[in-house]
Amino acid sequence: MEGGRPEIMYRVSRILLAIAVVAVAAALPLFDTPFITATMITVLMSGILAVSWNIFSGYTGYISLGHSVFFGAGAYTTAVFVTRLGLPPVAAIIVGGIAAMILALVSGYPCLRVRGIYFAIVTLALNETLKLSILDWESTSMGTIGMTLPPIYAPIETYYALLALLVSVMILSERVRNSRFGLHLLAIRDNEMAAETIGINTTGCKLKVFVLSAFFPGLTGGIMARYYTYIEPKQVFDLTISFQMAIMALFGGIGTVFGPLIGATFLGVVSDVLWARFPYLHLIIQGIIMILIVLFLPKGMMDIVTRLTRRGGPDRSDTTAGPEER
Amino acid sequence: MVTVDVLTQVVLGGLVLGGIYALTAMGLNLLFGIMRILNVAHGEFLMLGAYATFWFFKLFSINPLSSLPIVFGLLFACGVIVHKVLVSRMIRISRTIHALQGSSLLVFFGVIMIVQNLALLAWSPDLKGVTYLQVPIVIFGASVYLSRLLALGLALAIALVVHLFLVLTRTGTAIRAIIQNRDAAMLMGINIGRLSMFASGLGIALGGVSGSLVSLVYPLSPFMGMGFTIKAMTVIVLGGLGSMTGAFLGGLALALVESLGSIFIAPGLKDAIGYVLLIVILLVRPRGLFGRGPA
Repeated sequence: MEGGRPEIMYRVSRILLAIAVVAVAAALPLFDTPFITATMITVLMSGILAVSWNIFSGYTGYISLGHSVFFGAGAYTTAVFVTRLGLPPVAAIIVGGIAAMILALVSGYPCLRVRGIYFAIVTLALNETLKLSILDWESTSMGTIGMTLPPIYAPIETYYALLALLVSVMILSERVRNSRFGLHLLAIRDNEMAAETIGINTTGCKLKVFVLSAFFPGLTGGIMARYYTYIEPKQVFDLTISFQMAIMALFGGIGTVFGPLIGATFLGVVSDVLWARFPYLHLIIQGIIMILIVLFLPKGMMDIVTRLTRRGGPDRSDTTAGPEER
Repeated sequence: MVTVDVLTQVVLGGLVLGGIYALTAMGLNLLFGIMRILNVAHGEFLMLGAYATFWFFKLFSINPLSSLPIVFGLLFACGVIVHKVLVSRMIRISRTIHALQGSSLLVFFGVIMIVQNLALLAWSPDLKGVTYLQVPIVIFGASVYLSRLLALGLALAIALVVHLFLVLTRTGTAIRAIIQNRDAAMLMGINIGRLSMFASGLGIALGGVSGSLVSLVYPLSPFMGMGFTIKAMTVIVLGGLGSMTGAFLGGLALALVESLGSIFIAPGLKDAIGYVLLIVILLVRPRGLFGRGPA
């Protein structure tokens, strides 16, 4: 490839860095206050969601604005299985993840027939339909809205579960990105017609990655359902969750492996700090920061990282071709 | 079971809302058609138009009818400013259409946060209302406020004016040309930059004017925008991206379906029916009812 230090050194140092970060994150709850643990839980949750969203929308270019439907589906399935069917929480959470995948399979086939803005709105419509249907069903046949899970307070458990999920989804994201399958997805993003012409099964690929990207939000929904102990449609199917996923991934660098995580962490931490310092103005400041960064760093925050670690070769920061340059 | 007066009430209600949906969608469609970016902050300009109408009415006793042109002008200026400050920069720095759409999503989301919260700080979250011409009129046994009929009438009138502008004037035709095929329009010597700015102003102004109409019918809150944005996005997809006729008819259709669905199916599922309609239409016609261009 280029001259300079051998590839292997970068690989190893990257992996060591990742392990170090995970180790610090794992040790965090032991030292810090419940407040920090709670904040970190939110950050971890956003991270998992943003990275999962990116696996689909970042690599295929199909912007999904309804991904929160998988989070909600996982949450509700878990709640139902724990309260009605008496399943132990861990099993129920896994069932939640599987339910989200089934939902993705069933809805993916019709939804993926459209593209671009049409696709974005149709996924949004999917989310709203499910949300409103559950809400209506609950208020008419049950009388009460929402479901209550057995009251337990387990922030530490939740924290580690989410951390494990985050590490898993990051590995998944990296493996997909730097694989043949990932190249197929990027080809779809760049020119779907050309990809089909060279024999890529675009429908199959899109469906596969759509289902894959639904699993972790489903699991996360289940975990958060147990953590919150009370869920209702407006909360777990909230479009804001969908938008946040997209925003964090776009902000950090869509289509990259670490981008969405950086975006989620940065935005999560910044919004918390701003909220504490400027209780009335924090959202306005956040909006301004977001606009400024987008206008001056269009490729997302990942751009800074790539530029700092570039090995003096030509600017290959365009994420459209080949296995990711580190 | 369903009597004529109930039906009339529902249909009229649907049409009034439909007129508002239609205008909002037409504005959004103009913005998307010209620049291929989805303005997720559209509803916020609707909110600004609504509050402008409210304040002109409350502070200066200018009735909503008379303040309409002023609101139009103000929001037109907003649109031009947004274009100059944000959109043209985004177009310049984006290398691919994907990048542009991604950036525009983020930037306009930032605009939502700023505008919504400034409105919240300035005008408090308490609901406000414009009580103007709330005189009941009886049609087919149904009692409807004159203000609602006025809103409907204005919506139809403004939509007609916009349509005539796009079809009969040179500028309007140039705008339609850009929407149809941007490159061909450039080859024909159309000044894309200037007209994009004009179209941005027009699109946002339409949003603001829809807001004025909303103020005649519904209470105002700083958070009212998002709901209308989502409806407008649903409408333009339903009607077909880039098609103004589609946006207009789609808006009316969606509102009617919602209203009729609320009495014939279930009131709680009102919005869900609209979304199901959208999904079904897209399955049958992936480009929307009147859409042309890439799906």
